[in-house]
Amino acid sequence: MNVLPISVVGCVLLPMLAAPIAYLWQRRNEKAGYVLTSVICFLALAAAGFIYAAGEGSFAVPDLFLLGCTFTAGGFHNVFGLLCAAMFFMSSLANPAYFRGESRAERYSAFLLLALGSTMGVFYAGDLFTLYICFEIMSFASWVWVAHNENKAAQKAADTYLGMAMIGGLVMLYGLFVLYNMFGTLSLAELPELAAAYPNQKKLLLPAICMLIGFGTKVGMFPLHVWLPKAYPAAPAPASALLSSILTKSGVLGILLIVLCLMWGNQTFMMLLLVLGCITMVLGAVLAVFSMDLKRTLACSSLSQIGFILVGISMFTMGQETALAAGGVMSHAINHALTKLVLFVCAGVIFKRTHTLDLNKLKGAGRNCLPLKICFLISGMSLAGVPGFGGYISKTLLHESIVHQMHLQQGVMVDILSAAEWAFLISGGLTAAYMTKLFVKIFVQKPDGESHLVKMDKGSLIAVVPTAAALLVMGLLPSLTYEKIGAYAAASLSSEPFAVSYFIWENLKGAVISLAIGALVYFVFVRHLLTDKRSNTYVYATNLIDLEDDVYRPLLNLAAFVGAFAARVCYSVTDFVAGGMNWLMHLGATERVTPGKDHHFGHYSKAYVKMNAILQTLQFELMLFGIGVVVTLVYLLINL
Amino acid sequence: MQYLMIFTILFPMLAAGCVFTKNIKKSLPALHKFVFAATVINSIALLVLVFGPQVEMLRLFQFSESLQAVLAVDGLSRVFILIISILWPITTLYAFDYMEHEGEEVRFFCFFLLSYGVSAGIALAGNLVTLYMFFELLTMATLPLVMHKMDDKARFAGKRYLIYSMVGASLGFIAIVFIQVYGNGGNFTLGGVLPAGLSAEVVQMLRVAFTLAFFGFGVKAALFPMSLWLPSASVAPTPVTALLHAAAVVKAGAFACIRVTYYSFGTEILRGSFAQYIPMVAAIITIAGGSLLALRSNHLKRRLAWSTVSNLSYILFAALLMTDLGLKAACMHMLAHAFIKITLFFGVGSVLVSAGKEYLDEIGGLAYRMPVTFACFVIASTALMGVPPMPGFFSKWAIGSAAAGGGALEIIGIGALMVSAFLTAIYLMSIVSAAYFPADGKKQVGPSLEKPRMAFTQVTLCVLIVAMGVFNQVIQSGLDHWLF
Repeated sequence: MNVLPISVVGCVLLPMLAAPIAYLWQRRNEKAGYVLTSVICFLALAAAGFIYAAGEGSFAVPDLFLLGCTFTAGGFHNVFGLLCAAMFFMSSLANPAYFRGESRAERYSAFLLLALGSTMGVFYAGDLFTLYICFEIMSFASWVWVAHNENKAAQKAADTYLGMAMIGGLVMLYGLFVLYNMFGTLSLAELPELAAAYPNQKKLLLPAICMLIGFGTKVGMFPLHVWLPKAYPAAPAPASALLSSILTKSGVLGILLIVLCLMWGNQTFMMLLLVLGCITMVLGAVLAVFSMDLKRTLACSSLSQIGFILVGISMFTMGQETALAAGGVMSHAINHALTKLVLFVCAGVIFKRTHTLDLNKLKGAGRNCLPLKICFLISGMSLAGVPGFGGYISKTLLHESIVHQMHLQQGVMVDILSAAEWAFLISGGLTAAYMTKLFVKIFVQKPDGESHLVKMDKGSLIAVVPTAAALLVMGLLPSLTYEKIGAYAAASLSSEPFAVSYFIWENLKGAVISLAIGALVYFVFVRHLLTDKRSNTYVYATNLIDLEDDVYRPLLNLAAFVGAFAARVCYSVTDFVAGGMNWLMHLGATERVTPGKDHHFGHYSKAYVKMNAILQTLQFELMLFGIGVVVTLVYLLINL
Repeated sequence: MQYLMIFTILFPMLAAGCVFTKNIKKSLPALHKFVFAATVINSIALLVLVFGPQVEMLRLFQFSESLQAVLAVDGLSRVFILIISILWPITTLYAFDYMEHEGEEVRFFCFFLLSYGVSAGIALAGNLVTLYMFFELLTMATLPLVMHKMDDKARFAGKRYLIYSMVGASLGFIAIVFIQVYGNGGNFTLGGVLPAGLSAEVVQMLRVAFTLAFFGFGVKAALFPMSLWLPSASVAPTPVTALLHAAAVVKAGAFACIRVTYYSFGTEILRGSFAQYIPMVAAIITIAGGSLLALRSNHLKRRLAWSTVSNLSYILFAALLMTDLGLKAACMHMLAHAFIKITLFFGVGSVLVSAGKEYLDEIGGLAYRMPVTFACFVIASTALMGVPPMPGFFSKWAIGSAAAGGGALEIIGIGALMVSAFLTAIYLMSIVSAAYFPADGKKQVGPSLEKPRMAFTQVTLCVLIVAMGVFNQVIQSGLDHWLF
């Protein structure tokens, strides 16, 4: 008996089935509910670990739903699956402290488990249909997270999130329809061959772009990112940690699958990804530098990091010598997940104590809490790509992949790629700048008045410390960690294993340039232009244009208004016609017709005689009849 | 077994007459018991027809060689019977509590039973003439239900309903004539009754006749441009709007359209001609327009009524694909939508009766006083939005994948479907979020407003909906087995 199917189905179905139980249990006994949630997450983690060790396999659950569900394990599926379960488990540990004293914690626990199951389903899906189903359940479950706080900001953010997720999901569904109709299958195993053999490659772009919109919404790709900087701050911190660290990765996996299945080596798609990736990368970083809110900064930073990954995927799309890009994408995804988990959980710890996310009010809030400080510092350094930390390795890989592709290309492509390289370095610099901004504000500067003493609870500590330690270990021993994982995943991404010596000048140069830009931005821009000297607080940079409030929402409202107006007019036409008929039928009719008293027939009132009597009488009708007879006779005579 | 068909049509009609006997008329509990027993018995009889052994065709009476009234059970009848036989008893149960608020229960239940019989007749009709007969009867039987309140709004709605239905009937009549002449009044068969080898002019004429008839029967399915009667008919008591205007009457319209398309004219002569495209354009307009107007209605029942308009055109759109996949998709959505929409209507009906609110801006925070109602409303909403693995998702998937094989118009249709699905999410979720997360942050407190029988029916329906989603494979294979 093969154990692999059971463990895959187990880690997908078990959390979903356990969700209502956790809800009910936690209502009775809060502590037991948390324990149950964590235990289920741990079981999923154990199952994912087992799958990782067991390697490849795929199997179907026929007769489930419409097309039957298939699951596959192996390569990057396993890496993402393991990462997902680990992140959920870690974050679930931080729940009890964060939700202490809240009335609706059980709802969060239930939807946490639902999202866990569905996210695992996304990662282990063996065909796009299964993936889509799980993806939608995941969106729905995480929507509840965003709305959890039930205040105005949360509600609006949740509305936007749901709206965007719906649009993305539906566009993706449309792509799936087209794809299913083209090939008659959505299986991940069969699609690459079928797509490669498809005669009209241009037609493949339509489903690919539809799916890119769907997955792009989830990762926060420009211009579909508008929900992200609002949703993350609105959600409870453990939820933001998951949204940022792992739910975005489901989109990353999706985009990887598009490339693998449909767009392998497609130049158009590569350029699209590259341009959108660069914009997302720079835009996110710039927004993060300007942001005055702890969690919003982190959210914008997520945008930026996703941009890095997208650029990596676009390098991967090149289709030749993609090993570096594949490794870079995988390791940066992992690195970003770990980093953001730590940062958001830390933010949660701070928020729980201070009840504010405004950076100016948080001045020096974390000075006294050493573990918090160290963890934040490690992940900040890692995110900024300081050599010796995890982020350096993954960024180097991504950077190398760009440089490597630059050597392979000719003509305009070289210029485009070198522009991308500079965008990459500048965003890296901005990352360093905004992370320094956060760290200095919260952990270095002295608080103005009475200080909130932030204390770390046990759960958060257990969640954060191993993760931060992992970042450090991975950064120092890349050949044992990232490369192993990268090679494991790369095998399934159809590329060779790779080896890069990280700590040589060639590769350190990129980091040095980045950090120099970061230092420049921080000291010149953040410390001087963004800071009000007298009070030593950050000034609010005005929002020039909010894409959602100024463009998307008005456009949608206008479209809805015009559409509804047109529809209403069209529908009323029928009523209008009916009314017209009614009027026509009663035209000239008297209110009441009484036999014997009818003025049309024999009895004439004086008024009628006086008026145009001849039109109203029998004589007139007789006359018409006579004319008719005459005409008929004439006609007959002529024809005969 | 054959005579069971007559029984299912006549028994509710007889029962409707018996409502006026002294013993029943006088006491409310007796009335309730009697009506409930009658519907359950009839439902059991209908379900025997669905799941029992194959029943032979029954000739009722004969006007001429080709003009005869025939009853038969085939795949499509089974789908329709399944809808009415499950939903009628549930709605009856719901109506008991609800009608205490509306009054005039004897008259109400009389016509309620009467329309059950007529609906059964529509399902069992074996040829177009019989179908047409029951179709007309349905208008008559349901008119008093629409006008139940007898105030100005109700009378206006009734008049509109009548005018629209009459126009539809007169157009539908054209189909009968042509089927009589060219198809010799044949009984419904998949693929149509018209003989092969008709001349090109005749085919052209038949296509014109079909188009007119489709719009005629489409009136009951609220096809553009004859949709307006449905939203205004939402003044009727909720059990009526829920059952008749979300499940039975409108589904009878869609059912008749499918009958005309697949079983009378046959898709062979229609596919790829204007007879396919003109109705399809109308259906696409209805899909988008209906959901847009739903979004902009503040009145809860009208909002759902517009949503029904839109969703019925999903069915018509699927049917107009004129393929086997399309037929199956139409049946799937017919089933799914009937159960989902009735649950949604029950939800807003409970809000209307128990809390006296009927506008969206009045229900802020109400979910905390009516937990069961709104929990069911959420489940049904997700189902209609098409959140997998709910039944709405599978039916939409079926429609979409059936349409994806077509030409440009079908692709536009899928686009309209997507837009409509998005709007569905907005217009349903805004109700949910108003009820759970009120704008002013004030949750309503106080004793629960739930009424046990009404809550029970909603929960039952929710269980059915979820089961339909999770065990969708059963429905699929059942449809395959029945239809083809």
